[in-house]
Amino acid sequence: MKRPEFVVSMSPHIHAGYSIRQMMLETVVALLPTLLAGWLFFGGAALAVVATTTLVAVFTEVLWQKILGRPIEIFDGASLVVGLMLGLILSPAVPLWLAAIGAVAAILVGKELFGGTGNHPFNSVLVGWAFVFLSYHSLMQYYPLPEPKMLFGFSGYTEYPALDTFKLQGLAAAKDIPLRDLLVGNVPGCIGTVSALAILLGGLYLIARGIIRWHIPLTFLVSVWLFAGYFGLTDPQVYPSGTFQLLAGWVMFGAFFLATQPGTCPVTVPGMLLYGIGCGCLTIIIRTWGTYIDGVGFAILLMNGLTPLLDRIRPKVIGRVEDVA
Amino acid sequence: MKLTNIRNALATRLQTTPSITSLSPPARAVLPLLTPWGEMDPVVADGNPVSVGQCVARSPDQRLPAVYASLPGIVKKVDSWTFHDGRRGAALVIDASGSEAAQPGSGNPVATDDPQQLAERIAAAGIGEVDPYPWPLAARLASPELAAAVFALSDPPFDRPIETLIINGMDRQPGDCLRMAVIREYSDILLEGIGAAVKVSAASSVVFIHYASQQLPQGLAEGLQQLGIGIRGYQQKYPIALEPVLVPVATGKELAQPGADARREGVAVVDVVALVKIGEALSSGGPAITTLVQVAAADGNRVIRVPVGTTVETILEQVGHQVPGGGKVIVGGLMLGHALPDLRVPVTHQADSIVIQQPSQVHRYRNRACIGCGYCARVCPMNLLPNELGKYCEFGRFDEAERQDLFYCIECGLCAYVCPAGRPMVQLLRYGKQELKEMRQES
Repeated sequence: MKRPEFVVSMSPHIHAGYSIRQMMLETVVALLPTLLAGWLFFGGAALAVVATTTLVAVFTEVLWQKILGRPIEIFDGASLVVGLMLGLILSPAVPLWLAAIGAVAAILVGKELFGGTGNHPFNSVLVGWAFVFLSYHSLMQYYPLPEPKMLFGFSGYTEYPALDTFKLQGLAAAKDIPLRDLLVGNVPGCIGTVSALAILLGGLYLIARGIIRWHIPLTFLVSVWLFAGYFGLTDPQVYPSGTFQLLAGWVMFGAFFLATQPGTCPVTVPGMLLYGIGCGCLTIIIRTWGTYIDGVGFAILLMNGLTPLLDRIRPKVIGRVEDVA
Repeated sequence: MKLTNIRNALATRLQTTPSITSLSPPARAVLPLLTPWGEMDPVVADGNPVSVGQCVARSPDQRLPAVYASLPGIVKKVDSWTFHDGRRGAALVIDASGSEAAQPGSGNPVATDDPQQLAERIAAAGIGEVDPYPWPLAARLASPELAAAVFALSDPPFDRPIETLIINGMDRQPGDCLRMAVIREYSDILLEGIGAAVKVSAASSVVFIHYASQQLPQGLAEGLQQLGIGIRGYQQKYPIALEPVLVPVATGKELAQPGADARREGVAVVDVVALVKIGEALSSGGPAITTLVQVAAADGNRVIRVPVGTTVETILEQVGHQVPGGGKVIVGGLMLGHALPDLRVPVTHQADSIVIQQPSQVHRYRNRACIGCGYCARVCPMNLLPNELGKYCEFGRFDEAERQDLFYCIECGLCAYVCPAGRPMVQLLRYGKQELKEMRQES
């Protein structure tokens, strides 16, 4: 008797329909407002940097997987997101070869050497960024003035990014930067991190779609605001306000996009809350007492290293009874 | 690409409940001798004729449900038959001989209020259940006095009085509608079964639990009120109907895993399908020789009453379903069920649904690495970290998996359901559990 061939597998026999590709494409959608803001304020140079990192990242992954004879996974979109994010945290004025080196480092050192998406302990975007940041420090220090395409006039309050202004020219100069310009991004800075508003838009989209959870971004932002606000209130002659620290630099971008990269952040609720608080506090500590001007990148990398420990703090398993017998 | 929000993953839609129909008697019934409580011994010889309702196999332990012939015919023992959960074991095959007409029931209706007689009748009815309870139905429902008197069970947990009897009217998983259909169609007989269960359990409080989206029939609601039974409706959200999740939700008591023995907490759970079988056994006086099964296919749901042991093949032939090559036949539901390699498995009391998936509906798992997104940890009803457990089991680090509470997993399947990487989570965790059990047996 000829029997029809049935598919046999373990339960469950249905799937919610989520895929890595969907997660990554939704992240790309969430990054579009920041990319748009980057183009709005910095023009075509910004797009060239982002395009370079994205293309090089995808190409590097294909090449690496071809060399190793592994299945090609670029259609998952993970390398696309890494390349896109790396471009967004670079200055629009970096040389394109530098952006390309960063993308290669992000994919190879940050991701593929550990086994690919999700297996890397450290945020692959930040690994790529740290690679070029530490190697070509001076080349990455130049930030052009924004030339808004529409709606906004030339700000002219500052010729350095807000945090550099504070560090180099003192608090008084930093206080001259209107918060409105910091909010919309009409200041010098990295392509995707200048516009807090655009980041907020994308970040809230990710939370609404359930791609990331609210715990890490919220605790990150709140702890930055409270910790910096404490200094700002106790010694307002020396330290800037919490709101300034929140809107300047990478804090918004880091909280929504960098700190939440799958695989590098904790998955338990207490772990996520502590991770967010740790990221926020380390950011302010590095900014206030450290050598580097912005602390977000290294704060997140440090907290990435703590993730396995934070994941040990887990809620009580249902049905677990500490039995003496 | 289907776009779905993870937070809506667990809510399931109300199924429209079809009416219950029956089929013409099958030519053959396969009665498994392998039960959750061990193998039964045949009490009839090969080639003997049997009549409907005749006891054909029982356990040396008289307290366990016996096996009854569901068809009149000639009986034959087969040493190895595959059952719906993939296990192989001995079975009795009854080939129907058309000469003898099927006789519904063999005894007189049981009209008694004596709990001891009721308990004995329930035990004798040979009723099996879908949920993997640690104790057989009759013993689980018995009050401490009855457990000692009828079943000679006086050790823990049976020495503890039943504080709450939970009557579970919620379907187990998305896509199921059998219990809803039973509530709608069998109100009267269900009330009879509930009355008997209440008397046998001597429970201090009884709750009837159903999906809030289902309107209870007037007669049932009134009958429950007369019996003094509280009615609670819950949102239709998997896996609330599974015992280890339901008991904490309904009573606030956690079931100690592994084992999940509700009796230790003074709780007994029984579902409406088993209660209908109790009601029928009491009103007919005979054993439970038919069971109810839901058949779900592309054209909708049916609920069918079939003699116990009817094969899936026969049922699908009779309802006119062809399964295309590359499709999937699942017994036991979409989240918890087992896919069949072969349709000649019998439908027993332990099987409540047959689902047919077209090739386009079949989900294929992927053998790729965990990406650590944590979706599984978000949905796990037991607060486990399935991502870590899956990795430990995948790479053979079973001891560490056990230290991370592998055995607290109830295999509800939600982790695999949401996994964006499409990893076969339940398979990995079951593999780990199996390996650990085998290691223990060896040592």
